[in-house]
Amino acid sequence: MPEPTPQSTTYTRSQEAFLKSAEEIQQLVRSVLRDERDVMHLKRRPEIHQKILDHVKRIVR
Amino acid sequence: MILEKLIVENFRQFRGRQEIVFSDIRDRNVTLIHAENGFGKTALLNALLWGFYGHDGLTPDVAHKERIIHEGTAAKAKDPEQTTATVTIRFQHEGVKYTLTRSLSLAVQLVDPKKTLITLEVLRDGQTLTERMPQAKIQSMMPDGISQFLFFNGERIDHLAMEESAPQVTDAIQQMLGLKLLRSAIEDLKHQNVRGKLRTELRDCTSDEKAALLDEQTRVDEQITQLGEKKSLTQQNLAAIDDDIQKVSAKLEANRVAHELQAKRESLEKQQRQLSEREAAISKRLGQLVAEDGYTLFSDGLVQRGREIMARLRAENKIPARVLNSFLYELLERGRCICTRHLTDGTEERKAVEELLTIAGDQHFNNAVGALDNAIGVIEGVLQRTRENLQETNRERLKIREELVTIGETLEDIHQKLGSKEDEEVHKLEDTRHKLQLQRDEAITELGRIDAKRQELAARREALREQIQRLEDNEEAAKRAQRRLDAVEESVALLESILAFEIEDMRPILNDEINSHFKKIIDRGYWAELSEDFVLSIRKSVAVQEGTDDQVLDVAQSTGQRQVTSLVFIASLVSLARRRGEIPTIIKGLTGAEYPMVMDSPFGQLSTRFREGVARWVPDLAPQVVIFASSTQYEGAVANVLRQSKRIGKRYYLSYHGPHLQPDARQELIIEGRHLEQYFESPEEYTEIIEVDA
Repeated sequence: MPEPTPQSTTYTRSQEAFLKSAEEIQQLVRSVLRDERDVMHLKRRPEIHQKILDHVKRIVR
Repeated sequence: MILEKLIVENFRQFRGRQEIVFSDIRDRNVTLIHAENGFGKTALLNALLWGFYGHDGLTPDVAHKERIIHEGTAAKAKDPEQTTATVTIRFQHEGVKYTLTRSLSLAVQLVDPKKTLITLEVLRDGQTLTERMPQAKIQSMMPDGISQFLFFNGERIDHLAMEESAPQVTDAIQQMLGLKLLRSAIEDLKHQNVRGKLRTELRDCTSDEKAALLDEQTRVDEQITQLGEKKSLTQQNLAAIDDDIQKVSAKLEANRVAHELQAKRESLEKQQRQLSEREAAISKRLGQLVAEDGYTLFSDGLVQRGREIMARLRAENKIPARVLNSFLYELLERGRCICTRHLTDGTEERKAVEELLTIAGDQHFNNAVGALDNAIGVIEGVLQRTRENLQETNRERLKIREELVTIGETLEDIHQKLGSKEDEEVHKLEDTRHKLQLQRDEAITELGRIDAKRQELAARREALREQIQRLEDNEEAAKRAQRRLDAVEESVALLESILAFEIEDMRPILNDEINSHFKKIIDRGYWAELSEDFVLSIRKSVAVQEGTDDQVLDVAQSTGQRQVTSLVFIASLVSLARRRGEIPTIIKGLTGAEYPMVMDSPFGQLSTRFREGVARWVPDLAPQVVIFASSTQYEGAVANVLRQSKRIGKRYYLSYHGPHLQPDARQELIIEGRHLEQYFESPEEYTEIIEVDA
């Protein structure tokens, strides 16, 4: 996910959509994707749902 | 990934230990395996798939998937624990060497053939290490979702170029180009264990009214999921029906009695498809026309009324104004006329100017009337054009509909004639074809119904979400639960739009790639394209009239053309996957990855012209290419082109021992003038892999 820097001013449409969303949503999406990366190829991944729930509860108070 | 060696031991029809060393030389990247039908091409392709993914990796056309161990060996086995089938694959991935071994003992096969033993060894710095989670490692290197595009039967990929395969096409793009991460995140956020749990938490601490709405939302979500699964099944069913229709049609065309009528039917059905596509395009154009300029059709009365107002104002000398009030006010304010006389209060001169104000026109009014006059003119022009356009487009649509009716009647007539033929085979084939056509119609209708229902449910879901959000909670816990649920919904919506943008942005890049590959095969004025709806098609440009733009039409594709289009699409994905790091994306860390392509019968259904083009282009498909071909597929154009290209690095043939030779298989293989015995009569069935000079 994009980290806005003074050098990078041209964004793709998906990057623009991401940056337009609320800070809280950006943070949640980043956290979910970070965890998904490790397990996305596995058939069984029961822990991912609990991890996502934990992220939601940590970020949205 | 570059394949180095495959060792099969007692796997399916390969008895004992057999091996293939793949060519890894870039300039001679083709490994060619000659094999007649029934000699073990599919088994060899499946040895690779079984090695990488186990039982789940086997292709759907493998019969008796539970019998992995060579049947003769299994029948003679004295010790089921010691009798095994083993596949070993040595390969390189991102500069690291791996040895993958999967085996299954007869004792386990009898109980659960899915329970295989897998080990993955890594050779690093002269040391061999064993991966702790071998299957997970394989999945991270080459996810099973992409294997279907890397290891496939060339004769069975043509369905990708069918209209109903758009979901598979977008799925392929996601899988091959690293976008699966976004989809997994969306699915997990929507999962009952995440969204469902948050909804339950909210339900437990909110009002009864909101709880009822949440319950309904859960039910709607479940229905949407079920419909999604149903749609996917129906699409698979439709692809299978299309496949069967093609087979029956081919048999009818090969039949002497039915040949002429069937050929006519094929040609008419092609026309029918083209006309239907044109009709759909015209209907779309018509819709656009009505949406953009349709309002003018109802402006007759308004235009008339505007014209009357203008005429009245002219008659009353109000337009054009002889003098403007702003000018008179300026004179009065300055206290001097343009004739230099003083306009002091109470003088006759001032009175005369003030009287003029009663007939003077207003500047703004004047401007407004001018604009109105202009707008009326514009609307009249658009009205006239819209009317003509609508009439013309409608005429065109009616004409197409008439042609479609005529074709429909002729097709019905052909069906009647074929159905009443006395030839028993024709009669049966026509009956089967008719049944399949009816099944096809039902499947298409079902898809329409599913889509309509899904749209309805999606609208209901959105309405419920808004209603739930509007109902304010009093308790802090409920408010927090609502915020959390909203955050998940917003994250899903954001990820869905990101995924859609990523795929859409990929389309032009993919189209350039598709076209550059396609042009290497066909040079006449055709091009291949992935449409906005992600349908793979071949298109051509047709001059309609002098002075007008050419019309772009879809070419109704034959099975062979669809096979080429699908092959080109897959090759484009492999090529883009290789240079993935250069393509802009939101996902961090996506790097290029090389993959081999292993194809069973890539020349299978192709006409001679296509075979030549595909054979010329096939070495450039991927960094490493493995081809299985029978004598009839290889001889002639393919052999000549591949010989001239000097790209064959390794060559093998499968030698078959068995009680019968398939009718279309040859006893002798001829390669570059060498005659090789490839069939040996034997009561036990087995295949050997034999290397020959490339």
